[in-house]
Amino acid sequence: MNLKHVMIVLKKELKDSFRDKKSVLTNILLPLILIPLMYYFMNMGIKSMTSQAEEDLTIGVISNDINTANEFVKQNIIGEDNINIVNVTQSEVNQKLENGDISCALLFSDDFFEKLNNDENVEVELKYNSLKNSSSLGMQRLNSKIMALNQILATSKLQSMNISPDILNLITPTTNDISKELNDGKTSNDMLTMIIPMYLVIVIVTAGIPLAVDIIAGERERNTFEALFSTKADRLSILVGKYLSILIFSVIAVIMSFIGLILGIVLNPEMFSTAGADMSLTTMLQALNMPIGAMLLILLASITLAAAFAGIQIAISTMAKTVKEAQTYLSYLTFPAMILGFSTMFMGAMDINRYMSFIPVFNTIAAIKMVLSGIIDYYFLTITVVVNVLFIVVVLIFIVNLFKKEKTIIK
Amino acid sequence: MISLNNVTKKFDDKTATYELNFKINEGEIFGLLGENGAGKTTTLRMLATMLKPTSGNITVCGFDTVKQDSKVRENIGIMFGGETGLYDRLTAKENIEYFGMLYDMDKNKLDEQIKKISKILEMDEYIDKRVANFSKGMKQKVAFARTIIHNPKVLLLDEPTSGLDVTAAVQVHEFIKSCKKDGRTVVFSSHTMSEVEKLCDRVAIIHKGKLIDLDTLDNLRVKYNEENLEKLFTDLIKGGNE
Repeated sequence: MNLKHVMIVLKKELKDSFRDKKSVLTNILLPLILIPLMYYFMNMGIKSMTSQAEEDLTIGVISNDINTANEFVKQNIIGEDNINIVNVTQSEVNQKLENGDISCALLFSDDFFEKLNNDENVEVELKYNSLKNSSSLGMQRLNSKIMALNQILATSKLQSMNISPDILNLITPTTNDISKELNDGKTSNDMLTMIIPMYLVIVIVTAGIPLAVDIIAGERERNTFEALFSTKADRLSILVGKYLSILIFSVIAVIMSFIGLILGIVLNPEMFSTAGADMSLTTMLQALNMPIGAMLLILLASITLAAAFAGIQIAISTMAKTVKEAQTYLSYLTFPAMILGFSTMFMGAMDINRYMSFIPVFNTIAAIKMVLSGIIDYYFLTITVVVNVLFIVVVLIFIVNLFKKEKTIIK
Repeated sequence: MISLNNVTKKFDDKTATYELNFKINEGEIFGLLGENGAGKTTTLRMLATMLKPTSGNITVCGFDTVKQDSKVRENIGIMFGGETGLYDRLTAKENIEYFGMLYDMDKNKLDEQIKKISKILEMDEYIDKRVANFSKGMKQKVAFARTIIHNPKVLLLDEPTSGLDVTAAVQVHEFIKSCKKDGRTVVFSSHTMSEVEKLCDRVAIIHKGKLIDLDTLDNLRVKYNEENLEKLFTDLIKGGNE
């Protein structure tokens, strides 16, 4: 292998790929813009749902004794809330729910008030249309009001019988999360540890695909391989130059995606706060504030994984007969990354066992997740890097042999 | 200059060339004539060190194509197919430069050589423009420049006019002739009789991987008593089939 030739090929491939507007736009610029934009629209959706849940609600009341029912609903269920009542009949209720004239309807049975006065159990039917978001939200709002009324009625009944209402809550559980104590006082950010590792690994696995297709299958299709192989540069130098260009392109794409992700979170912190997580910049910086050794190992694990996948991308692109075939086969690479990524998504950082560090791809996602949760396990991190390096070695041996074969290079 | 000794090339159970034996002299234009699939491209690829012979050996400029492949590549320039195989997003100069650097050319010498070739091939106007929007003729010139940038002693051209219009094909012919004037050895494959007649000093007729005959066109005419080259060729092929 000639290092000078490696550098010539690398420089040319990078220059060529950065002039490819399509791949620069897709892999480098779009993640920067699209991720914050995606979070912005998701946030807007959440906000719109929240405001819908709080805005004026129109409900229908169905009863034989409509005046009593209206009065009961106004005084005991609605109270001061901004809920309007309209009287509807049984026959028109479904139509009105479908049209959105009412969000939901309360259907009182004929003996409802008589039974209630006699302290008997009574049922009230809450009709709604689950296909309409506003109807589902209205039903939930009304349901919680009826539950609250239940509590008030039970309390007043117990008090009239000289029994303390506390009897309703004999056992009160209190929760105590010890993760902070176990984790040197650091809090874990669930949303952060759920999204970032999986997202980064998917980008690591897929970012180099356009370049791999272009510089291997594309080059063969354009008939430039033959001219290239007739130069003084040996095949190994050409291969390594191309391989490094894919790796560098992937790493740049990963960095841009990471910046896009952080931008998306920082610009839309309410979205994550709604889901119960503190996504302020301070919290994120705290999560990213890890020992330098752990940070380096995480970086190394990510780069080594990208390096292994750059090799896999070259191998697939080399074996494919055409550019189209290469694109199809390489698109399947997303699936294992997604499957392994999803498998860690709902796994707590402390559920991750050390043996998992021996599973390529999974180990990197798990390592990032652990470190972001504040769990620094140098054993796990080191094994992850070692396994990834072995993964690279296997992949490189395979592609070097593939490149030596006449049949795979010259079709 | 080039010597093939009992060269056989097999792909799995298919024999692409069978015990080819011939020599090509320095400074001659040598044609490989045959139908599609006759083994011409395989022969050129073996000369270019891209394929290794299954048996036999080849020497180019005194170097063995298997044992001294790098030395062989230093001395050859190749152009395969009518399609020029250039990088569209690079300029004409960058395309030529890339190959020159891969031939270990000194930067100053490379710049000088690009200027010289650009002038000869009248490429000055578009040398710094990206190849993507070039016409076929312009691309062909860039490909020529790339092929001879390192001043190779031997040129291997595989059906260089295939897919080209008349003007571009004439440019290729002129280029081949100019190479001979420069003292280079040119080996080119073709299945067009008129092209061979116009350019070649000697021609090897290959059929189904076997060498049917090798001589100057005049000698072949006398030998087979046939003035019409196309008929001569088809008769020889028929003979090869029997």
